[in-house]
This record gives sequence, structure tokens and C-alpha cells, in this order.
Amino acid sequence: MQTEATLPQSDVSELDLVKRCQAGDTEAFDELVTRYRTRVFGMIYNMVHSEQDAWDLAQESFLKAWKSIGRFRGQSSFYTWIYRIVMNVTIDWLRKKKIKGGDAEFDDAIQLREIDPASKTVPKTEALPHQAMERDEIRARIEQAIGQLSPEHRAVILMKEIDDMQYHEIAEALGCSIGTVMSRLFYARKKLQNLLRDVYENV
Amino acid sequence: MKTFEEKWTAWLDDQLSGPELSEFEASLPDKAAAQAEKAEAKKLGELLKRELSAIH
Repeated sequence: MQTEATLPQSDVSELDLVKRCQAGDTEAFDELVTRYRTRVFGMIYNMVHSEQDAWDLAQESFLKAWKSIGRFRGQSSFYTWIYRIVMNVTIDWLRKKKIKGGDAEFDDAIQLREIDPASKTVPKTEALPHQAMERDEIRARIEQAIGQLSPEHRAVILMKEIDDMQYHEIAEALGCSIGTVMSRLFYARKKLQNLLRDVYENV
Repeated sequence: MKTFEEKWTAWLDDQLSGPELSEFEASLPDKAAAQAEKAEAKKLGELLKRELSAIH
């Protein structure tokens, strides 16, 4: 059994910060925000593709975290715990935006209908020459492709590929089963492979 | 009981081992094509990591 004495220093101080937050110490919470705001902002930005919206959602997430930190029991890491809040806030926002604005459709059912699990992923477009693929263009193509995924599919692919999170951590952060995470990863990858093949084959 | 999608994902991420890995690979109708898709998925992951991690 792991005792506090054997925990890495960063874990000990994080737990300490959480305990201080739970006692009402706002400076301790500022420290946690400072530690995680860049990763949180980056994740949200990759989900919503708007700097201003990403900052607003990050702020809303941290505010919710502060209000509910008393309920954090340390059964997961603080990062996984706050990720769950971030994902709830961001996915809710994306769904509300979809209802208001007629964004590209991104229901899981539509994803399933569009992609045959057994389909071979054959290039649909001519490959672009390496020289013509500028970095901004690459980034825009990726954002456009990710924008076609459902919020849940965006979340799993970003948490897996960018943050190297394990299936069980993603499941915990999203409040779903590991099987659901794996299934969403399957469809998200298939879709992105179809949309971005010419990009990753030429850079 | 894992679905095909779950097993495929685990296989892509090198999370299958032992009898589960052998059984899954034996069930693939075209292993060469599957390996090509696995390589593609790795390239996709590398692309996303390289291009999107910069914002983190």
C-alpha cells in the first residue's frame, strides 16, 4: 500500500493544495489553477476552436471546481477530477451551440450510420504535395476535421492522442464505461483517417 | 465480451496481449491490410499530437 511518505513530491503537494482548498484557502486554489490552466485551456481550445470561448469555458470550469471541491474525495487524481468538470462544461456548451446555431451535425448515431466498422479506408482525394501543405493549412484541416466529430468523440480522441490518457482515465473523466471510450475512439479514428489521410501521408 | 470496435481499438493501441492478441489477429481476414490501417492510425495520432500539442 502506498503511503503519503512514498508519494512523489508533486502528488503530495497537490493533495495538500486540495486539502487547503477544501478549508477555504483561495491561494491554494490559485496554485492549482496555475498548474492546470494551460492544459485545460489547450484541451478546451482543441474542442471549440475559439480562443475567447476556450478561456470563458476554462474560467467556468475552474469556478465550478472551486464550488464543488469540497466533494473531491481523492479517489482519482485531481487532474482527472477537474477534467470531468471541464468535459461536462465543454460538451454542454457544444451541444447548446449546436441547438442554437446549426453547426455541422455530430450525433453519435450519425457517426455510426456514416462509417461502416468494416470499411477499408481508401483515399478519396488526390494527395496534396508536401510543399503545398503549409502549417496553417494543416492546422485548419485538422480543426475542420475535429469539428465534424461529436463532442464526445472529440473528447476521447483529444484525451487519448494529445494527453496520453488511459482508457480508464478517459472513462472516469467522461463518466462512461471503458468500452464506450474504446468504441468512440474507433469511430473517431476512422472518421479522422478518412478526412485527414492526405495530410498525414504528406507531412 | 468486447465488441469488434473495442478489440480493434485495443489492438491499435497495443493493449492486447497473450491469447487475446493471438485470437484477435487470427480473426482478421486480411492481416496485412489491418497492419496498414494500424500504421495509418499511428500516423494520425502523431499528426494530432504534433499539431495540437503546441497549444498546450
